[in-house]
Amino acid sequence: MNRVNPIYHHTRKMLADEQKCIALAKNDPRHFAPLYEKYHEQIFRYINQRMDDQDLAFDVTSQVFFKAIKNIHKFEFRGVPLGSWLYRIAKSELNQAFRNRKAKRAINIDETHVATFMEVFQQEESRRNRDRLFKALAEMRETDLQLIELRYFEERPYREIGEILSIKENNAKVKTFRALERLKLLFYKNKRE
Amino acid sequence: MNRRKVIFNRTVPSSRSIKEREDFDQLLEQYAQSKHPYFSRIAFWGTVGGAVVANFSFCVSIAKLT
Repeated sequence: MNRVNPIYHHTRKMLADEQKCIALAKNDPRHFAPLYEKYHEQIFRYINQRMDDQDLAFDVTSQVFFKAIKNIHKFEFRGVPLGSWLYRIAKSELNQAFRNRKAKRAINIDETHVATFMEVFQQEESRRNRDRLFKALAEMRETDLQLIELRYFEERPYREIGEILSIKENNAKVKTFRALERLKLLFYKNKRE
Repeated sequence: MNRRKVIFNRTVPSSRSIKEREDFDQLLEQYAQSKHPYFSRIAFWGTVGGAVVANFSFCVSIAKLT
């Protein structure tokens, strides 16, 4: 499955069209409908990836779009798609959900991700190594985990990661590399124990 | 305390099932409900209050003159 977000890579025309939609939505919230339809799935997937309860993930997604429609008048175009603004709302709503509802922060991982990490760590794919990887992921700092999830689980380009986390593309690259190094260290620490 | 849960090979919901949960009308309804009517806003009561005080002061000053 290709996880790279197909609607993210906006052309200038697409960005201009989106701007028109936003301008209309600022005057009349009913014009927010095309933006809602465009981003609903990807925002839900972003939230669901980080939660263990699917129904709760739908609730948080609704809350994200409610905040977005309510605050669309405050949105300022800075050359990036509306999506990056929605992701920032989603990130803050997720944190709020973890604080308020005591929902558990989840890390969703599948066989292909495990295989990728084992290849990077030059380790064989065994159950023991898999458990060590899970332990290492669970022990990571939240900021590092976010980078690992965005890059390795969701396969997003560095430019998009930068826009979601409000950092430069190069900085996203460096930070992701460092996060991977720290994951590697945690993995080897668990291997020695 | 580690509060993270690692889930391995969870079924990913299909685009269709996510689409089924889209409800823009409900979002609009929620938005409409969140908008306070003008009479319940601070700006309204501030204006009304200010007008009442100004009117009262005017009446008192007129009464003093006559």
